[in-house]
Formats: sequence, structure tokens, C-alpha cells
Amino acid sequence: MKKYILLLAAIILLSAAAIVLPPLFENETKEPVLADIVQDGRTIRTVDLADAPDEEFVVEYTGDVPGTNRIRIENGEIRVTEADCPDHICIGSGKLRKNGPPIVCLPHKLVIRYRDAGGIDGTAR
Amino acid sequence: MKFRTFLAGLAAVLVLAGCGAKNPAQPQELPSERRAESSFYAMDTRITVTAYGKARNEAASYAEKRIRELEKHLSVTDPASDIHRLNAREANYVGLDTERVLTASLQMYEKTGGLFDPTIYPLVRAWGFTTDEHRVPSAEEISALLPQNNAARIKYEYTGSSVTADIENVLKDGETKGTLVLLPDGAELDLGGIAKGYAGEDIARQFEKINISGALVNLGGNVQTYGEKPDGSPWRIGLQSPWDTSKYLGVLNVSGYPHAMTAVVTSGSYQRYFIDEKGIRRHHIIDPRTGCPAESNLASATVVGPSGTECDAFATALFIMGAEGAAEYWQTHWGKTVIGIILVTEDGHIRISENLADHFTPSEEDPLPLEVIHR
Repeated sequence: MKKYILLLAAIILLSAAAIVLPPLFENETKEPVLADIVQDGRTIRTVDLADAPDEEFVVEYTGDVPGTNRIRIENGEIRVTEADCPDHICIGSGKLRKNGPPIVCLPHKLVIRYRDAGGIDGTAR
Repeated sequence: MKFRTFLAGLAAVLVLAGCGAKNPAQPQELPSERRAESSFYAMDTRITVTAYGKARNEAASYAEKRIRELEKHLSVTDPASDIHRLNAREANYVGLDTERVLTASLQMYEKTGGLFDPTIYPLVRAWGFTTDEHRVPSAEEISALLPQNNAARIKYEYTGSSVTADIENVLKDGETKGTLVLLPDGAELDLGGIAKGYAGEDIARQFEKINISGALVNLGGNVQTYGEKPDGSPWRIGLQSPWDTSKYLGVLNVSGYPHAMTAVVTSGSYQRYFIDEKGIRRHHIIDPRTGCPAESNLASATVVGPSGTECDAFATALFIMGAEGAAEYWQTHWGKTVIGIILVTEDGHIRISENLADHFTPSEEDPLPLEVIHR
């Protein structure tokens, strides 16, 4: 009987360790992956996609073409999910890619981009 | 938790000891990498200016001021601009900037055999690309609006500062708009196909006069570089995929040597288009010969060279020429020069001129077949 209790305790301890330990290691060793959310040339928020909790928030623009963009952060990916801009190009761009161009909503002057854009200095299009 | 605290403590010790190369809270910045960046919206697009060197802050703010100034003169929609007033036949006199861009665009009209035409504005409007109220004009309407040879018939003459009779032609600061421009009947100018390239080049030329080691001006995908990056590494310009705007087709390395200025300008049918009632895709690059969106087998044409003004106009003309015509044009005119081209065909091939081939790295994710255009 005692043997079983020990075995059970060992299994519980090991599985607990398996759950608790890896995030501890990850948190400390992961490089930050910074993405800037820029509105009209001003960085309004910076998120570390390597360590960002899932969330959704709305960014409001009050300039020439006023409106909102809903931004979702999920599993370390960032995208625009809803917007009331005329073209919806920001939504169509999908998630921000490490080796891709920034997400841009021209009407709302919104840009989501990696701070270190994979060593790219500019995009020709 | 204790373990975590231990690691955090260790990290702190390392940072204090100067061994911690990475500080997650603030991206490190070496003194030699200090840069100024400004980002703003003008000329209907997003513009970013990055500058390195002692005068970087002045350079970035100068660039913004200069672009806004050019926009004020060249805008086709602003009722107070030189171009709008010419088109509305409200004024015959324009300022120095407008004269220079007009001169450049007429030279490009000649060099491209009329494929780059600054007088197709009435057609662009008829197709609804000026207002985003897209429509397909009738064949009669199109043929009535064809630019004919209007660009060649534009007359202009610098008349000096003696033109003061018309008070409207005198700017508030006393500058005189001294160039007389006479447009043929029915002709309307749109310098939008060259204005961004001109702006980038003009700014890069100004940077030569101040203490700037390197700068990149990106006018909505119309890129102009000046000088070098602080570490001497080439500028890396991503070439956007015509089919997926979140992807690059590859990266072009642009070096600051031997040419201090390099422009990378792309013209593509994917940037602005609409689908008509019959389901046909109609893009915004109008062929001045037909008055319709150019029937090109290209998805995009990119021109790389020292002059942003020329690259801008040539990108449009090469797109209209199509893959074969554009490759031939390069061989005939630029084979022995530094000007290079990258053509992306509708069927997913990249054709790159010999002088650029070594500087282009195709994307690792789904690379397109690549062919070299030889001299």
C-alpha cells in the first residue's frame, strides 16, 4: 500500500513539475518580441508578443477619417479583427508576420509593426 | 517562484556586471546607431523618414516639412495647388517646384515613348480612381478623353519675377510664381505618378548638404535611400508580394557605395483596383494608348536606380510594357548602367536584371522561380 502511495505521490509531483517548471524556464530565457502599435506616427502601445496574455482591445482614431480598430493578441500573434475603415485592408492583412511588412490601416493612420522588423529597413510596394 | 527570483537576480547581476547584452525592457542602442525617425501621412500615404548622423533630427523634420510643401503645390485635389489651378484654368503661373516636376515628367514622357503620360488625369477620373467611385466608361467616352499627344503640346516658359500683375500668383512670403504654363484644350495634369519619387530624390539631395551619414525615405512603398547605415551594412528593402500583402517576395540589398542615392520604386496592379459588374478586375494603371487599365502580364514592375523621379515614372511605363517589353527596354537602355529592374509576372515568375541578381535574396517561404535578364 505504502508503495502505491509513494508511486502516486511521485507521479503527482512529476506532473506538477512538468506543468510548473517549463513556463518558469521559458519566461526567463525567451527573447522579447516587441511589436509597436503606432497611431499617426506616435507609438500608443508596445506589446511583447513572446510574453503577452491573450486579449482584445479597441483603438480609437479621431482624425480625418475617425473610427476604431479592434486588435486581438492570441497565442503570441497580433492582428486586426474588426474595423470601420472603408477598405478593411488591415483586417485582410491577417496576423503580423516576422518576415513580412507591417499591418497598416491607412484611413485610421494605424500601424502595427515589429520593432526589429527582421532586419528590413523598408518595404517597396 | 524561488527559482524565478534566483534567475532574475542572476540576470540583474549579469546586467550590472556589463555581461548582459540583452536587456528586455529597453532595446539596446549603441551611440553609432542613434537614429531619428519620423512617420506621418501626406501625399495620400504613410511616409517614414529614418536618418542617421549628427543632423538626424533636423533631417527628419526637414523631410516632413519639404514633403508637405511639395504636396501643397502638386496635389491634384487641393483647390489651392498649382496643379489644381492649372487644371481648372484658374491660373497660368506655377512656382519653381511645380515647374521642376513638370519638366521631369515631360522628359519621362519622351523617354518612355509616351507610356508615362502626366496628362491622363481626365481618364483616371472617368474610371473613378480619383474619388473611389469606380465605373467603366463607355468606349466613346474613353476615346474622347484620350490624351492624344497633349503632353508634347504643353508650353511652358520661365518668365522671371516680373510676373506680379496677378496678385494670386504672388505667394505670401513674396516669392513669385514665375513660370507660365499653357495646357492644350482638354488636357489636365496629374503629377501623382512622379511626385513621390521626386520628393524622395529631392530630400536625398538636400541630405548631401548636411551632416547626415545615411537616411531612408519611404513614401508609401516608394523607397529612396541616401548614404549608408552606421555599420556600413546595405539597406535591406523588402519587395512586397502582389498576392499577399503580409509577405515579401524577397529582400534587395542596396549598398551606399558607389552611389550615395538609390531609389526602389514598384508599380503594381494590386495596389488599387476594383471588380466591375462583369467580374473583370480593373486596376489603376491606365495605358495612355487605349485609355483603359493596362493589359499587362506583369503583377508588378520595380525599378532600382539613383534617381527616384526617374524610377517612379519608369516603373509605371515598364508595367504597361509587360514582361517582354520591359526586359527588352532594360537591355537596350540600361544594360550598361546601374539601373536595374525586377519584374513579377502574373503567373508567378520573377525576372531580375543581371546587375541586381547578386543583391536579391528570394524569400525562403514559397520562393518564386527566378530568371535573370542578361545584358
